[in-house]
Amino acid sequence: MSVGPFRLPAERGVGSAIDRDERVRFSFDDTTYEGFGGDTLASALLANGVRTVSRSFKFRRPRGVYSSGIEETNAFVQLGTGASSVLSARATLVELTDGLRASSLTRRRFDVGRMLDVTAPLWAAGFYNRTFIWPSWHTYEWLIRRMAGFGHAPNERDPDRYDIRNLHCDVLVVGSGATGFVAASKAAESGARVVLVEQANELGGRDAWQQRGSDPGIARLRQLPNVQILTRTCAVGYYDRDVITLLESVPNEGACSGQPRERYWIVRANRVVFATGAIEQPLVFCNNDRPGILLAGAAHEYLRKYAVACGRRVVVATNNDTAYAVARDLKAGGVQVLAVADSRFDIPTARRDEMRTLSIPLHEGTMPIDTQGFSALRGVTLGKLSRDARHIESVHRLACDALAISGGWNPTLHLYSQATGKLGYDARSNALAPQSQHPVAMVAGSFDHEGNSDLGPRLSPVGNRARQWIDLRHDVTVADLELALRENFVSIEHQKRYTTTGMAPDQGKTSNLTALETVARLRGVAPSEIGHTTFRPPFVPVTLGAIAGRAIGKRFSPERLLPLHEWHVRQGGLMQDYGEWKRPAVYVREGESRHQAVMREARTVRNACGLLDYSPLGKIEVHGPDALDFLNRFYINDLRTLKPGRARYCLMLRETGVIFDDGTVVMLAPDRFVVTTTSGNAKRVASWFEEWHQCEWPHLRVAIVPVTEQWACFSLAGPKSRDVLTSLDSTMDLSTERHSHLGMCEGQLIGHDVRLYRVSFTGELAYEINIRAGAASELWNALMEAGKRHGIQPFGLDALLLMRLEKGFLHVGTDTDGTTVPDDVGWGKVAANKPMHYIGKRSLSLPEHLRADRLQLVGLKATTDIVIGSHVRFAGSSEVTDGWVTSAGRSVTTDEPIALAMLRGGRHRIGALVRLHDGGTITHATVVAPPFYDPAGDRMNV
Amino acid sequence: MLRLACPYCGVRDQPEFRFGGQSHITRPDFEVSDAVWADYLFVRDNLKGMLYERWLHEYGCGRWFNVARDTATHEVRAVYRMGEAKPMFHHEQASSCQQTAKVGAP
Ligand SMILES: [Zn+2]
Repeated sequence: MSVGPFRLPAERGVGSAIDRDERVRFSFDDTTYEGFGGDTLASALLANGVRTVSRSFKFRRPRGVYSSGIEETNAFVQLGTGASSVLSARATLVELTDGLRASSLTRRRFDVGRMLDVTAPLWAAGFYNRTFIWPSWHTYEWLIRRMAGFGHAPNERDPDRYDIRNLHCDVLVVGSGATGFVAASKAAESGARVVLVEQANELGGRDAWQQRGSDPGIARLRQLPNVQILTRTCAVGYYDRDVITLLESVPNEGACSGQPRERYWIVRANRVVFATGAIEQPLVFCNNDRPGILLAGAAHEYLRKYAVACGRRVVVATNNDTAYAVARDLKAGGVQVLAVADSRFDIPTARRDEMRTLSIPLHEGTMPIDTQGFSALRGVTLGKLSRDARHIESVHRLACDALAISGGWNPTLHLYSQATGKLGYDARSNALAPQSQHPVAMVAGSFDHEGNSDLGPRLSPVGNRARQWIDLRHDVTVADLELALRENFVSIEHQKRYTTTGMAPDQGKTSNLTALETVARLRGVAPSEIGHTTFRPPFVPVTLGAIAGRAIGKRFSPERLLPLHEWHVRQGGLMQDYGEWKRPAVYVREGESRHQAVMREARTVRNACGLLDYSPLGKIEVHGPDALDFLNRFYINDLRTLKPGRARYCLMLRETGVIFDDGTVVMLAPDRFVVTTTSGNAKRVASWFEEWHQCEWPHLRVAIVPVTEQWACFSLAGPKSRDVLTSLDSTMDLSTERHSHLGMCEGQLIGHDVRLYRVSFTGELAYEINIRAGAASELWNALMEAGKRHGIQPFGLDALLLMRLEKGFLHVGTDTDGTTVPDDVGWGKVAANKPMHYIGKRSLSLPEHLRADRLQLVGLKATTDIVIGSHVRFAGSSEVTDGWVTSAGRSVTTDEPIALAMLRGGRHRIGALVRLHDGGTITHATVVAPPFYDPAGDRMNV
Repeated sequence: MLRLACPYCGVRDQPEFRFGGQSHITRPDFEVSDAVWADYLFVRDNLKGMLYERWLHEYGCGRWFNVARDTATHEVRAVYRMGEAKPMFHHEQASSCQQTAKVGAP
C-alpha cells in the first residue's frame, strides 16, 4: 500500500514533521489508508487524495480540508467508536496513530442531503426561526439535528479520565513562536515563574517548520527550573480577574494507561503575554467552498511539514505578499503551479521578478470569481478587476485541482478580547488590532506580518451572492448577510445572531473579518465603522468531561454515612439518599413487600418498642451569657419561659415570615442550649445563626458550635421504651416525675455520657438518646439486646414519617413550601403572642399573610389510597386548584388512607367532601382536622 | 473568578467564599409601614459601579466581611470587617447614597 499519491518523495527536501520509516495505518469512512508517523489525520487524508471529508451544516455541500490548524472549519470528523468515541474532532489537530478510525459526521450511503443544496434558496438566514414554528420548534428539532450532522454522542459512560489542575505563575506566555519564545526567555532570565503554552505538539509555532526560528534556545529554556512548558495545550478562556483556562490534550495511550485524556488548567498569572500569531483569512467568491480550496498557509504547511501536495495543478490566489512563498515552494517541490492571481495592481517588483524567474504566470488585479467541480475542484474562473475593483473586465478559466487562497492575516486576539481588551479595524493591515492597554494582558508580535499590509481586495465584486460563503461551518453566505440587513439587523452583533455567522466552532476565526467587510460594503461604509462582535470563551470547543474533571459519579457530591451504616446494611436496611446522608428507609425482611415492612415497623413502635438511627438530626450548641436572648430572636416561641432541663418544639422563620426550619430547643443551663434542626438544614441553620451574630448582633455574647457529627442520636420509641432504657446500667432517674415529656437529662448510660430528651415525632413515649459518635455502636447493640424481650425492632424513616403523618406533625419542606407562614400550619397564635421582635415577625402582618383564602394545613380521609401531589378541588369550585396533598399514607392503627394537605381556607372546610385529581384519575376524600391518632397526646405524656 | 482578600486569612479564590448580598442594610424598626418593610425585604441596589456587599469565608475562617466591588469591572476596591464604616469613593458617592436612602437606612 502506498502512503498516498499526493505525497512527495524524500528527495524533494520536504516533510520535516514526518518519519518516513514509520508507517501508520488508519481508516476513514471504512476505507483503510496509510500515513507516516508525525502526520495529522488531515495531512494523511490529503496525501491519499481524499478530497471530501465532510458535508456542510445546512446544504450538505461536500467540503474538504481547509486549513492546517485550530481554524479548521470543514474537516470535522468522528473518532473511534463506542464509549470513548470523540465527535467533532478537527482532522487538522488529530495526530495520526496506528489503528485510528475516523468517519465523517454526515456519512450517508445515499446522499439525500444533496437535495438541500438544490433547494438552497429556501434555506436562507432566519429560515429556522421563521419556518419551524408550527406547532413548535420541537416537532422538527430531531430531524434537523439529525440532518445537521453533529456526529453521534456515545450512550455509554465515558471511560476516560480528566484532570483539573491549578497553576500560579508570574508570567503566562501563550504561543511559542519567535515572539512567545523571546517573551518567555526574557521573563525567565529575570527570575520570574514562567509558563509557556503551545497548542501544537512542538515548540516554535509557525517558525518551527519555516525553519527560521529553530533555536538551541528552546532546549535551554526547557532546562530552566522556573519555566514550565505545556505543549498540545490551548488557552481557551480568559475570565474575571485574570483567570485563564487551558485545555491540554494528553497523547492517547488508551483508557488503561492511567493518564487522563485531557487536563483542564486553571491559571492565575500576574502578567499574560499573548503571542498567538495570526490566522490566515480567505478570499470570498462564488463557490469558494469546494473541496480542493484551502488557505495558502495551510498548503504551505502541508508541503513543508508533511511533504503533501495539495493538488497536482495548483492555482494560488492572494491579496498580499505572503502567498508567494507557497507558489515558490510548491514549484520547487515539483508541483505544477498554473498561476498566481493577485488582487493588487501594485505588486512589489521583487514578487514580479520572483514569479518571472520561476516561470509562474502572475495575474495582477485578478481574483477568483467562480469555481467548477462538485465533490472535488475541477477549475477556477479568474476575473480581471477594474481599477476601482467594482467590476470584472475579463475572465479566463483554468483547469486545476487545488486553489490556495490568502486574504491576509488576522491576529488571534480572541483571548485578549475576552480579557476586555479593546479591538478595532486597522485599515493598513485590513485586520483587527488591539487598541488599548490592559493592566495584566498584553499582545505581542508583529501583526503587520511581513507583506501583510496594503492588501488587495478580499471580496469578489460579482457573482451569485447566495453561493459566496462567509462562514463555511455554518453555511452562511453573503446573501444571508444581505437579507439580515434588509430585515434591519444592522448592528454586527445582530447580524451574527440572525445569520449565525462566526458562531459555534468557528468563533469567527476564518469568518469574522470577511463578514465585517461584507457588511461594510453592503452598507456602503468603511469597515472601521462596523465594529466587531465580542469574542467569548471558549476559543476552541472544550470537552465537558474536562470541565467536570474528577468531580463525577461518587465524587460529584460527598456521601455521608451513619456511625452504624454497616449494621443497617447487614440488617437489610434499604439505604437511601436523604441529602448527602445515606439512611435506612426501611428494613425489608424476606417475603415482605416494602409497604408490609413499613407497617410492621410502625406497629412495633405503636405496640412495643423500636429503635431508629437519627444521627443526621442537626445539632447546634449555643453558649454564652446572651444565648437565651440570641435564640429568642430566631424562634416564634417565647423561650423566656423555658426552664433548665426542659425542651420545647420551636419554629424558625425567614425574615419574610416564611417557615425556615423546626426543631427542639433544649436548655441545658441558663447559658447553655442545644437546638436541633431538620437534617437537611443542619448546616444552613448554623450558618444563619452565624450571619446574624457576626453581621447584625456582634454585641451579643454567644458562641455557636455545630455538633451534628459529634453526637450520634437514636430515637427509642414505643410504650416499652422506658422499660428497655431502665434495664441498662444508668446514672439517671428516668421516672415520669423526674423525666417527663419534653424533659431533658444528662448522665451516664452503660458507662458513657449521654443526653436524653423526651421528645417524640412518632406520638409514642420516646427518647432521643445523644451519645458520642464513637460509642454509638456499643450503645445501639446494648439497646437492641435489652429490648429483645420487649420485641424491639429497628425502624426506618418510612415508618417514622408515616407515624408522624398519623399524628399530624408538621414536616418542614414536605408540608410547607417557600410561602408557608406559621398561621397556615396552625401556629398563628404562638407566633402572634410573642411580644418580642423576632426574625420574620414583622412580615406576618403584611396583607398577603392575613388573607382568609391562604393555603392551610388540614387532614384528609378517604377509602382509596391518596397520592401525594394530587390536586384538591372543593365541590362547585371554579378554581383550577384549591390546594394539594403534601403527605399521604395508611393509618398504622386503622389501615385507612389518610393524608395531610394544604387547602385554600382549609380550616373552614372541615367535614367537606373534596375531589382529588391525580393526572386523569379523580377520587374523593373528606377534610378532617388532624391528628388521626391520639389527639390528646396521652401516649407521649406518660 | 474573583479573588478576595479575606481580612482574617488573606487572598483566596472565589470558590472558598459565599456571596451574601448587599451590605450596610439597616433592619428597620418593627413599627415601620408595610411599604418600608417590604423595601427592606426585597429591594436592593442594582447599579453599575461600586456595590458594597457581604461575603462569607465559608471554606476558611467562617467569618463575614464586607467588600466594595465595582460591578462593571469586578475590581475590588476595598475589603473591610463587619462593623467598619464603608469607605467612600469619589465618583460613586452621590448615586449610592441616594439608593440606600430610599430603604430608610441611616
Ligand atoms: Zn478567612
